[in-house]
Amino acid sequence: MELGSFIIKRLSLMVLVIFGVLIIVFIVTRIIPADPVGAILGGNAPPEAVDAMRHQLGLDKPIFAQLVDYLGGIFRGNLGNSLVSSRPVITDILEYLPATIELAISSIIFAVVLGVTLGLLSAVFRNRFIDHFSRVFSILGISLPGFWLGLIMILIFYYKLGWLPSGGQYDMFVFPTRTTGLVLLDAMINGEWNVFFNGIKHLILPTFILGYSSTASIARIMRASMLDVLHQNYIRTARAKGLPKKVVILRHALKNALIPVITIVGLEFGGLLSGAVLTETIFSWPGLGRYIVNSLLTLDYPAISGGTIFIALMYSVVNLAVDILYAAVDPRMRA
Amino acid sequence: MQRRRGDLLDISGLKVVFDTYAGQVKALNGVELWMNHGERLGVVGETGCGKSVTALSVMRLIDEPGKIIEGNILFEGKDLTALSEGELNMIRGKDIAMIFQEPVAALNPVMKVGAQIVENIEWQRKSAAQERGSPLQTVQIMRDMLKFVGLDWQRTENLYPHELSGGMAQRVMIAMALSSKPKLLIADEPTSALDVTIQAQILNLLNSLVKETRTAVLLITHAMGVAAQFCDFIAVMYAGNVVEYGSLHAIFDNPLHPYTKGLLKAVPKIGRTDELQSIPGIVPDLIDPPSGCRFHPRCPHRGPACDKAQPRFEPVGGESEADRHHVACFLYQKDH
Repeated sequence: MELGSFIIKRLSLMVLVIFGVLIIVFIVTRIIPADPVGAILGGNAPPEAVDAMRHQLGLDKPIFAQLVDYLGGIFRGNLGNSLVSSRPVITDILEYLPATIELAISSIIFAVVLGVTLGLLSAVFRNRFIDHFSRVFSILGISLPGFWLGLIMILIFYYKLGWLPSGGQYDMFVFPTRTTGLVLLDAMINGEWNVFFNGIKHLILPTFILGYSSTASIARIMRASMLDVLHQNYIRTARAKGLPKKVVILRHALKNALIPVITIVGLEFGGLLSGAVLTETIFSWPGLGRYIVNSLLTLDYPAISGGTIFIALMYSVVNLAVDILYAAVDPRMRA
Repeated sequence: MQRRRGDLLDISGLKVVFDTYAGQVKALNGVELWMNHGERLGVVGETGCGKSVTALSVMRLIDEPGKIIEGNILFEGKDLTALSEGELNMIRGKDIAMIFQEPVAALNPVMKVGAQIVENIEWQRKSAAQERGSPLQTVQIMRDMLKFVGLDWQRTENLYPHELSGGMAQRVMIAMALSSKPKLLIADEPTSALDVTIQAQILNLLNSLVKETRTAVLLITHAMGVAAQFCDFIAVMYAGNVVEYGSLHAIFDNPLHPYTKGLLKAVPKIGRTDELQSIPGIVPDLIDPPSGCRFHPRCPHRGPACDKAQPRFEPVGGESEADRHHVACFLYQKDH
């Protein structure tokens, strides 16, 4: 199949997935036994005020009519207004989204580079020091809770050593020019190098905490996959050509070993985008995860739905990218 | 150093063991083999007799947990067992090339086949410290090689291994192996995984190519018929030993070792009226191999000495020197 038609097919599937997520999220938020009007007006509001508010928010209509209204809005690019701030949800989301994307990207780069390297070295130097080190490092990464480790890191690197900041995207007295919303990218575009390095300093700890468990999974998968590949017949062929070990590993084994890793990277990246809630909270990171948690606490229906849709959308886009990458790396997948 | 018996390859007393959890597998137990430039030697025997281990030993591709513990492998007088990895890489692929049993699995699945051949050509030039040919030249050699093995290069060079049939893949492997003009081609069961009709095609192709390039071939096979069709000399292996070695004529017309005789009786032939016979018993466990001659538990001519000591591998008297007929059996040792 042509790559083009493959992408079109996957895109249309993606639309279906998003649509499904949308309907499920809408229905679930409507049937939970909690009343947003109560949350907005407080428990002692007079009944007339409650009814007026209910009408104003459209909550007195049947649920199906509400769904139709909502879907209609989405096709016009309108995710509704926040029940709390009355601002359009889409505006809020677009403000919080870049921080999440920035953190997720830096975490996945960290996880892939370190995970693949550790896994590769573990397989090549099996049962030697680097393999044992990588095993311990990975087990810790998977078993230590990120929020706990995060607090410990803040304690050490901020409180005791004073090397790194404790949270936020940049210092209070740094004023980045906002172009795309991605702090580092904006800093580079605008040549604000003080902002860039300040941003990097703020990224280090959250990146490590968010990316650590992904690093561990990637390292384990990479090790297993590499060991498997190293026993394949084509590796023997490559060695029979007289290629040095380094060339055999980097040219023949690595690309084959990466195939299963790509799947994991896709899943992990999706997880990083959506699962950054704890990390964002610990490091006061102004991202989408925190936005959704806050919306949940105030029963802000449109905000919850909107945020969830964005996360589903990003998840789908990442997985589409993974599938395309798959086809690019492995010619057998193009069939 | 002992006298050289073959000017291309001379394996003597080769012992290889594999350390496993179950115990030490004594895979090769003093293999003796030799061949001259341009000759074709077939190594035959049942599965697990050490044919492939012998082949991989020559390439020095025996991996942990296997190791060569004794013996020499002289290649043009150079002892391969004494060389470093770096020195071996100057010989692998260049002087000694290898093709394998499952050709599709032997090619890298994510590389185009043309690129895999080009890689070989480029690397052999580089390791020979020749000036690097222009990429265009290298590609031209690759295309010539594909043509040489009967493939349409325009159609083939950009295919991936999974798009090839087994026969095509083996042709690609042959093209790759011969692209560096090796002195010795080791073919480890090159046709066993292929359809019968394709087997014949590949053998014929190999036959004509090595004749044309005067490449020596070490053919590993379990099929007596394949060896008979292709080789000048035959070595019969059993449980890690070469039990009989000699010219095609010597082995087929005057087999001496009871195992060789058994093998030949087990080959079906058109027009043959006697019953097809199998050798009773099974291949021994090489972790705990039989004492003395490893064939003695299955041997119809077993004598009192057979389980005591290993018979010497000795020339057979009264035959032409050119037949190189050697056998390791007490039946033919004068002092027994």
